Amino acid sequence: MAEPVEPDAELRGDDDETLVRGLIAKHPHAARIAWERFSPMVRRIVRRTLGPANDAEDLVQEVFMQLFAKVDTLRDPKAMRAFVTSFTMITLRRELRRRKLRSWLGLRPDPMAGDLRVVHPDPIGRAALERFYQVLDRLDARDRTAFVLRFIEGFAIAEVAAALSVSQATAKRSLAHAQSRVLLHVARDPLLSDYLASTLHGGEP
Amino acid sequence: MTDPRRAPVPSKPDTLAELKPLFELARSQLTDTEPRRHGASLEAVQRCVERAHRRQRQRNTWRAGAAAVLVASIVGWFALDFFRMPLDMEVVAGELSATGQVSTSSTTTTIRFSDGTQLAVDPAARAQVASVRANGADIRLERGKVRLQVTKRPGAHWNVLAGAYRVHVTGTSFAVALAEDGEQLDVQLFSGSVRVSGPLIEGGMDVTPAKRLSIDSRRGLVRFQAVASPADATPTVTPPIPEAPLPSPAAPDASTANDDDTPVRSVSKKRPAKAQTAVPSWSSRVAAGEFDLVVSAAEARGLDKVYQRAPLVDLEALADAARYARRSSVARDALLAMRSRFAGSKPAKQAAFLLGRLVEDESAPAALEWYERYLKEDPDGVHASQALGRKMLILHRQGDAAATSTAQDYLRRFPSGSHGPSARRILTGN
Repeated sequence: MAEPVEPDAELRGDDDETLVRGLIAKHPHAARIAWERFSPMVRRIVRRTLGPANDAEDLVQEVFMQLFAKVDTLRDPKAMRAFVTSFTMITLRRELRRRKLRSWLGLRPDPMAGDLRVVHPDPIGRAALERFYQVLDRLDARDRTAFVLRFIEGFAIAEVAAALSVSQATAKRSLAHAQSRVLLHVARDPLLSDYLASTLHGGEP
Repeated sequence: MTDPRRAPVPSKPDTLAELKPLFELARSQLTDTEPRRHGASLEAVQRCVERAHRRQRQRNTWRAGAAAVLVASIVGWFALDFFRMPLDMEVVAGELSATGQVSTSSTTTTIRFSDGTQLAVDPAARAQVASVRANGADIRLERGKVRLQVTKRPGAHWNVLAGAYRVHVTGTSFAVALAEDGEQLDVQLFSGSVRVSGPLIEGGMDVTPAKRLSIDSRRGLVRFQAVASPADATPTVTPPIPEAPLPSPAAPDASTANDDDTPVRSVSKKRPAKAQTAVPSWSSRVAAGEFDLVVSAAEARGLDKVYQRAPLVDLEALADAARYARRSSVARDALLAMRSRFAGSKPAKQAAFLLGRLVEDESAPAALEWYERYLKEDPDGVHASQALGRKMLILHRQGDAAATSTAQDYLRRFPSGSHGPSARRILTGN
């Protein structure tokens, strides 16, 4: 049985444990506070995993729907952040698999390029970012999410493993596999090679 | 326009540290900035919190139904695809007219079908690809010798109509020789089985490996003999057809080899010794139609390692196997590796054409670029006719005025080529 719900001020504190209790007890403002606290992280991870031309907001909502539906299964309320990350990864991997299936069926991918002009006014950087995510499209869902968490988000290996719900050994293997594939295909892409050469040697491409 | 699939430029990242600019780019551009519809996002979540359980039940039901529809669609789509769309033909060497007639030439004509089946027509032979279906084709042999390696597939249906005889195959490698008078037939089987019917064997006769069927309808003779050794495995007919012995099943097919400028890729003339060893080469596996095995073997070895270290002949075999097994990404990477590591070689040049074929359905502009690249690198190559013809068709579909000059060029260079009728229609504006 839930403990007495804390007032709003307590929910808004840094303590995730209190927030979790508020969510379980269905405190009227707990959902909003959880959203304000965690949606930036979720949105960032979703965008960086899917790439620039994809609308992340639907997936962000889906993550929170799952989170709120299953928050009472969280065994350690202090691990709320990792719990949110885990749901984000599950949702992302499902979306990536859905896209692979669409690709396999010969269905055209969701149209790209429209949002890029909003994201990055620099056409060279825009093209390089688009091409980089086309390289990431070659990875399977687990390798891709591991790669993004580790090298773009800066997660430690243990955090990557926890987010993906795998052992550290498995996380390392995924990362090694992703790394070799990404290096190979970036090397083969003249636009990306040019972009890297110019940034390494002169700053702006 | 930069070719996105060209061989890598000299700047080549070896470590992740060299990719940092890309990581920084992603971090700077893909942030957590919330869209303006923040309020709408949160309200939507809150509504769903209230209705979470009902939505989940509805979603599960929909997914189960959608999955069932999806599976049925996939099966139906492939079945439809297989049974309705006729096989594509690729003239690897020689020329084929619009009516399917093989042009006589001084070298063997080799035609590869999109299911992996390969037809080789001797220089002195007269043959025609009479009709092509989704599950096979009819080859009409008027005189001389042809060799057919049919990929074994469910429902495959191939016929060689040799004079009054019909050789029906479903998945095999064999040779048929017919005398000019049409009265002497010789069938030699290397693998699989065929059924032959016609004068003197109206009920049909099955020919199995290591057996040779010889029929002389003029003298009323039918011989069905065991082949004791590869030396005996030579389908022959009596003169006046000059005899060039066909190779044994274990050796590569010299009769399908062209001159040095036009090698036949997948029939392994490059590794005769390997065919005799316990572990078949990838080339011989491709020739036997074992495409999935080749791709699996490459995956077991590690595709990246294969791309970086395998010899050219293995990369060629892998590219072919992956194409026939519909593993487009593997085929593409193998072809790119060939171009990168063996730049300037004949197979690397031919890879440009094949890359164009791979991407043509997805991106006509990219395919056009590859065909133009191939025509520039190997203007007299074995695929020149096809590359020029396909370039012409793409330009025409795009409404590009250059289609007209390309059509003229095609007819000038390949007057009896398979794209001739299309070229003439373009020129007449029909």
